[in-house]
Amino acid sequence: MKDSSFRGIMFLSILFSASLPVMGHGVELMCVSEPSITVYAAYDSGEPLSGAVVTVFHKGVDEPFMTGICDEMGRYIFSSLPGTALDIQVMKDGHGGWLHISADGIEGDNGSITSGSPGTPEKIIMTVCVVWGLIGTALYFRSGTRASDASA
Amino acid sequence: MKRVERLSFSIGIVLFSALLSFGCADSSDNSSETASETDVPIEGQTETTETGTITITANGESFSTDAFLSADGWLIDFDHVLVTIADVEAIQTDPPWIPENGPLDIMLCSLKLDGPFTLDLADGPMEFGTVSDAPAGAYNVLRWTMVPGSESPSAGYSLYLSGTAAKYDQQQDYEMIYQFRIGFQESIRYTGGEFVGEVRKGILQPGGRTELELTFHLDHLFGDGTLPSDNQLNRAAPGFDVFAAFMQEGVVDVDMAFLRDNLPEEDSIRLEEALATLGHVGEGHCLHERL
Repeated sequence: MKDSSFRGIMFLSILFSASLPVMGHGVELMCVSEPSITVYAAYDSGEPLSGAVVTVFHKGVDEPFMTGICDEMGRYIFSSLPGTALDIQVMKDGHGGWLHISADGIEGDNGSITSGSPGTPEKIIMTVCVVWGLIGTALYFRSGTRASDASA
Repeated sequence: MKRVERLSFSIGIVLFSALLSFGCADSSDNSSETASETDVPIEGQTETTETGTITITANGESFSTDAFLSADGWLIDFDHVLVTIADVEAIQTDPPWIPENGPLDIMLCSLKLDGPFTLDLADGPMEFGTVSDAPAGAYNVLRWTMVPGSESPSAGYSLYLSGTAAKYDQQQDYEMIYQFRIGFQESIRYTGGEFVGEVRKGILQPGGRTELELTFHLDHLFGDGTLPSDNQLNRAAPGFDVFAAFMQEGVVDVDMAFLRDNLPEEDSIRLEEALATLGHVGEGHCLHERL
């Protein structure tokens, strides 16, 4: 029960951190990596980029190791080895952009997702992350202390 | 209470994960290095001794070389698409930079071609710079400035278009055929991320070759008559009617300064916005800055 709630939150966290617009010519792209990698592509109007060509490269490599087509929801799902840095291009009819997944692993996840240098919204989120993380950690240790006191 | 505290801990871990995700984006070193040049003057720096060759091309796509139908029904055929560019920079960044992130402030390596170069895109894709000992790596940012040219007919114009526009007038059963000469004085700096297209460009292996491409999307000015009229591109494009309105004796001879003074404000703004989005890297759009 505890594990499933943790995974659910982790999924949402990755979704949230990756849902920033990362590239496009009137295109919004985002990526979810739990447990496989899911690319979502849409026009900036919100209309799914169905039929868009997805090309997946290992970081810094010319030749793609995988290509595919987005479904009617603008979605493309694939698997990759954990810790693999990927560059993903999505393109359709003169619209397109890149997504980048770094190799830095996160516990329970295939890898962190970067979308370039953080802007102001990201910095605010980072600050909230730090504060919330510290509070959560403190509450956990407090809980542990209480439990050991009770058992003693 | 215990469940709440564990849940809080879980959320804390998750948010730390998110923090790591953002932190990776800012972990690049801001070092810069020197690169040598071959065919054109180069500025820049590098730490590595492993090098390869970069060629830099400009491409106006088929719109610059072949007749095409504008969004408002004109068949446009260019004689010249003269663009003058300067301060072309091939840049490596890690993590990769994208236009949505705002101004570029982190570079691992930058090579620069000063120019200016005046190129006629009506002649097709054109290679105008080669660097034979560029540091290996991923050149995932391309920056350049469109500046006024110095030689006729594009003297004073960063972009000069000439050619023929034809449209059949059904009401009068008459085909209008206009010559046009249109000049734009604007200096605009474009910064694009990695090339977006069918072939990956910009990855330079030691001893290898790669190409970087400045792409000019002329359909942003005139639209594309093969696409639906409510297509996003066609809704934004000024088309040719805004220029045709100033035809005199079969010739449209205007420049941006004249148009700014004589077009309705809405059309003038639309034209300036189209010009600002002219520069691309393949299908990838660029951040633009008016100078």
